[in-house]
Amino acid sequence: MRDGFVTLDFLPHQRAAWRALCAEIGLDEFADAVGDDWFSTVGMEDRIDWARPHYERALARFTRAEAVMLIRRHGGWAVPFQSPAEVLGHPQSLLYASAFFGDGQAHLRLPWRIDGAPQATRSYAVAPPLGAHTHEVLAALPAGEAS
Amino acid sequence: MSRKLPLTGVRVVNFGVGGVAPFAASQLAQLGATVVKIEAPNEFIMYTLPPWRGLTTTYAALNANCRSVTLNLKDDTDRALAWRVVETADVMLENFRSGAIDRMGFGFAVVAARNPRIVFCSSSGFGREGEMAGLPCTDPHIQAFSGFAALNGRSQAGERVRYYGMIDLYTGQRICEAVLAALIARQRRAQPQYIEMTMLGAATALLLTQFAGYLGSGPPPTHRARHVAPDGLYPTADQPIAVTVEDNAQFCAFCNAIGRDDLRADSRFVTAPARLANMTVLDEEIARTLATAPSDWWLVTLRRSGVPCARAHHDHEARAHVDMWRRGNLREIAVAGAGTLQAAAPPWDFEGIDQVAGCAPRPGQDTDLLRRAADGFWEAIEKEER
Repeated sequence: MRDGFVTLDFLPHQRAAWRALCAEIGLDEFADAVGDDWFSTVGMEDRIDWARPHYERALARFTRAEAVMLIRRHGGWAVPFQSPAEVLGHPQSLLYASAFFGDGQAHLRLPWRIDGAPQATRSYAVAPPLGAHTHEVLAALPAGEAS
Repeated sequence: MSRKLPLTGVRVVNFGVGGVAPFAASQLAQLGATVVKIEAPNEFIMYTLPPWRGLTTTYAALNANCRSVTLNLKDDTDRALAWRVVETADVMLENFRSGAIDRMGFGFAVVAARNPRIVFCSSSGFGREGEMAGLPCTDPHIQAFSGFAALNGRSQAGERVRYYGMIDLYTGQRICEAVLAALIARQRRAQPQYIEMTMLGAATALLLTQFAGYLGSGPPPTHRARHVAPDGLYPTADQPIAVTVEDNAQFCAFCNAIGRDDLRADSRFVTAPARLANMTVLDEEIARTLATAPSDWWLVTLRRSGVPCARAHHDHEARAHVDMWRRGNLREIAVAGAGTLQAAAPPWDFEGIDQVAGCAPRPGQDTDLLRRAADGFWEAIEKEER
């Protein structure tokens, strides 16, 4: 891609959809060459390293966003490879990530929702200095247990 | 009376597919729960991963200690059987695309209406809301989207995922954690509990230490980011070893052990920040020195000096290592009619309580039992597992 990389995935029953994508991006000959072994050029199989340059050349004229839309339009699975800055500011991260930037601040939360409500977020803050709460904790102990 | 694993008596029904929900369910089973998997019609792991004696090793490992029934949920009789299992379960897991379980008629609202004690966990890649809701997702996609690949993948051949399944398993582990919390909450509040988990949430939690500096107004992390130096794999005369030096005292001990006291006197390496700033040069110096002797020599020398180090095992070496078996990290899993295979054991030990014996189902192996004895199904399999 012009601005990075995307994932590309089709399920075992989606051979026709994969062939249609190949046709649209000029990979007809490649699709013919791999034949029945097509899935090993898409999945996490040994032949992916052999196939990678074909896909990369065919998709080189697109941006990540364009390539993702193209692959999804054919029924394939695709997302962009993102940098940390991109993921932490992505709109989907604001909804579901455990760490994200929102309202100009960094936020943290647990990775799950309970009963549909996002877990409470807290603004990012550095950990306390070592021993910062020693006196507070000792003062809360019953007399005689703090020695 | 013998002690029992903590989740003994807890009943879990897993509608999951692939890695996430099955791994979570298997973890609950290994904590003592009785787990029944309703096989999904699109269980792609059975078709895409290396076959082994009529199933796949991945299927067997991910579904260890679970039971399996195959039901056609479009058939009224089979749906009624599925409801018998769901209505009497404590926990239900599913990880279809967002909304699919609702369309199948087993969404949280209808399940909770028929089983108000249920702890129900839905898991998906990107959640039920937002522009990416409902998009399909497996481990490589979330590695790419979450920044995991950018920070941990190989860069010489473009962006690459690092290991197939890592975030699947981590998400499954976080599901397990959320379910345990919900089971405790249910004791205080007798209501159904709905948990929504996303792989995006789990992956960004996994990356928290790498994101930390950036979240705290520092520069964005890169794949070269380290917290200390030296830290990583270093070549020796025969095979690489891992070395980590965490503070100045260890760095002095390390330099002395490798016969390079000149490094600790070098102004480029005298403090931890200086070593990080000059880690490329430091790595080159260390690599040149460690290349003069074999790994065994350095491991003995560094361990005597208290420097954290380890051999970089290939997987077959790790699998055969005596400590793997002595500590019980690996075990044999028996699969009916297929023999045994080696797989990871639960990483915990409860004192005085035996681990559950390793086994894995063949898909659908318990279907006949459910059809014969739907009323006493849970009791029948619990009796078999005692």
